[in-house]
Amino acid sequence: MQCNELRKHFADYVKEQLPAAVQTRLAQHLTECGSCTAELDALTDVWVKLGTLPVPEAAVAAMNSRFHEALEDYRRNPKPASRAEIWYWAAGAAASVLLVFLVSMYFLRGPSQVSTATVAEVDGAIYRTWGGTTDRLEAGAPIKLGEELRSEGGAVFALADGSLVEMRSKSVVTLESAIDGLRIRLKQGSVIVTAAKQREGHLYVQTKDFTVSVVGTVFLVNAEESGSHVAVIEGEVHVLQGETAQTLLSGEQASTAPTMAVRPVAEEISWSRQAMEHVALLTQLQGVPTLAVPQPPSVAPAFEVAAILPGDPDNPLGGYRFVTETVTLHNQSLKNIIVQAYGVKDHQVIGPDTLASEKYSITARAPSGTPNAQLRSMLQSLLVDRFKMVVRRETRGVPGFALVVSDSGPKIKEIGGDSSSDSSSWQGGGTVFPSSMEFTGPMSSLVKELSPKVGNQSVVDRTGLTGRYSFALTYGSAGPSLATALENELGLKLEPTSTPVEFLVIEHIEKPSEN
Amino acid sequence: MLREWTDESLMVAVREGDLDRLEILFERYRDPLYDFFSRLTGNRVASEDLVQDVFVRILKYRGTYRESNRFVTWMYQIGRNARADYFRKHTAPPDMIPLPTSAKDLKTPGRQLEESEERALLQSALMQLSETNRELLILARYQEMKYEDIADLFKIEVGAVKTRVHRAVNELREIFMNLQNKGSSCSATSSENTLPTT
Repeated sequence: MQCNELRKHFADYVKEQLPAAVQTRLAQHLTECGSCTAELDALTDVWVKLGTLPVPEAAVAAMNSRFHEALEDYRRNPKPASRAEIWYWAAGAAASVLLVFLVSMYFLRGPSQVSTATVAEVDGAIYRTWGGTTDRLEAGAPIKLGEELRSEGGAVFALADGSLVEMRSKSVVTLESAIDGLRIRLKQGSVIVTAAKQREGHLYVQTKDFTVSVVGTVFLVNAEESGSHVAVIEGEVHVLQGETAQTLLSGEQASTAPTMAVRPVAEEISWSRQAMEHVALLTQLQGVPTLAVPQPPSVAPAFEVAAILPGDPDNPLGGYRFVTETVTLHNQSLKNIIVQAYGVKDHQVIGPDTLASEKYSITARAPSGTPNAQLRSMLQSLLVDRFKMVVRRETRGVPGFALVVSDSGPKIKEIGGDSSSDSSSWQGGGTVFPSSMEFTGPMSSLVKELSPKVGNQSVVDRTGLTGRYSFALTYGSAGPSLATALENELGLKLEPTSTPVEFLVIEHIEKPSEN
Repeated sequence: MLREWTDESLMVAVREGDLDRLEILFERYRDPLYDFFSRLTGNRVASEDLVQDVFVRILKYRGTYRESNRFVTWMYQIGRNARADYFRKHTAPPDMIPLPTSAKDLKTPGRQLEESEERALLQSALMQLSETNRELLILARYQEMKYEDIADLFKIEVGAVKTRVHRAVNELREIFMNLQNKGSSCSATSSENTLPTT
């Protein structure tokens, strides 16, 4: 009888979750019962051996990239499940997985039998390599998925959607199918992409270092051995590097390696046969105000048409997208609309309670040819014109953290080298798994990494440590907290402090005027 | 004080439109989910696809999440549905680890490799467990889920979970020992055949 009762707790025993009271009784019983002792030993043996079974490494970079592509896609075109879909999902629908599978199978078949692009212009020569053979292409030649193109002299090819890709001499690209569009894989050299409006799906340019996704814009991508570089001539691109995403607007550029020379965008594109046109476009758009500067209504650009409808405050679902010439905000609180218009964080907007309690849906169309960079400025104008919003900027000290050296001194050792090897990665976390971080870089980078871990509060570096450091840190779950791990393992601590943050103070806002 | 974002508060933020927070949840659960699917299916590519599918579904069904639900339980429920759907449509046999069906298939001689041979047999035994028992064991052993959460996930009593985990380990041990015995008897036969006659 006692055996059967105590055996119910064997599962707790192997998981080390045995209540203390049962533990004493079990220990006593085991001294008397050989059968239970043998069974428990055998169970524990298997349980421990299970812990030694390995799992092959996943393709983490590819998983990250796919996730971010899906997230970006959803941001631009949110498709919440309908009631019918929710029911269907509960019943076990598999449409999205099937799609992934079909696309994977499509990839595995090799190059597409359907031409995806056409050679438009050739200055020198353009060569195509597939299946071990190489041939020279003339203007008008079709290009299929999976074929590698190498330019000797300049060349331009046109995609089926009307986008143009100009290759610099000695550049190498391959066209690939992406889950939701087309990917140009740039292996070396430079391309300037004049992307057509992507009605459905996306166009990507991928190098070994990052992925650039666009909806409709003009930009340059350069891939070198030391790193990759992107420069935006018109519009807006999204750059995904590892787990970091950033948005670049007209005239902005980014490199993955500090050793890459950064020159003005106009210089970067000087090799292009369209250089003069691109520079003219760039000059014209440089006057576009940045998102952070609110425009006086008298000079700010305005939407051609804008419809504003009351939303449903009880419905938690909502979404927004900024695609070429159109802004759609579905069931967004006034606060979220302001956040989107000014490109600030939620906590940087201060105002009356109605900012949170009132929701609206807005569909607005900009004049033809309006660059994406202007859409947010237009949304600011709409708030001023239709909601009679009055806003002022104010800098306030807010609670944040200062990273300082603890009383016992730093426990991390300075390493040599330059910032080319800087990196950081986080894994695990939450209530079930401990978090672990591997970091290489200066303290100025570490504080940026720590901010999301402390509720996105500002973290400033006051360590006085000027070198570069490399370490691994584990915390959370049943282990030490982040603060304790920082202090015990690194000799650093986070001290509460006041940091300056700019706020938008909404002094007046009212219900929108009639459509 | 440091503010620690719980899984639940992150998911509520995602539900209400702050999609940046999903990146934190992805960062937290990418590896555990991959581990779960790969141990369950033995197929690396399918496991990567399934992790992606889980997060696409979280986005799509974010409106159905309620604060009263533990996020981890809700997520694994989505994961179980995704896996069931996937294998209704596809065949994805184990492809990650060589899985000998018995010790006789292990050709590696030498005591120094005994442990790796034992691991291969145990892996094989795990894949021969009934699907439900394998799932339970993986959640309890590798995902370190509390029995209470597993009970919530399987919609059964906590006591029933403990009993089933106990049985699953026993069943695994039995299969494992059978595989070892097959190997031993085969090795013995083989040794007898190769002994020199005097």
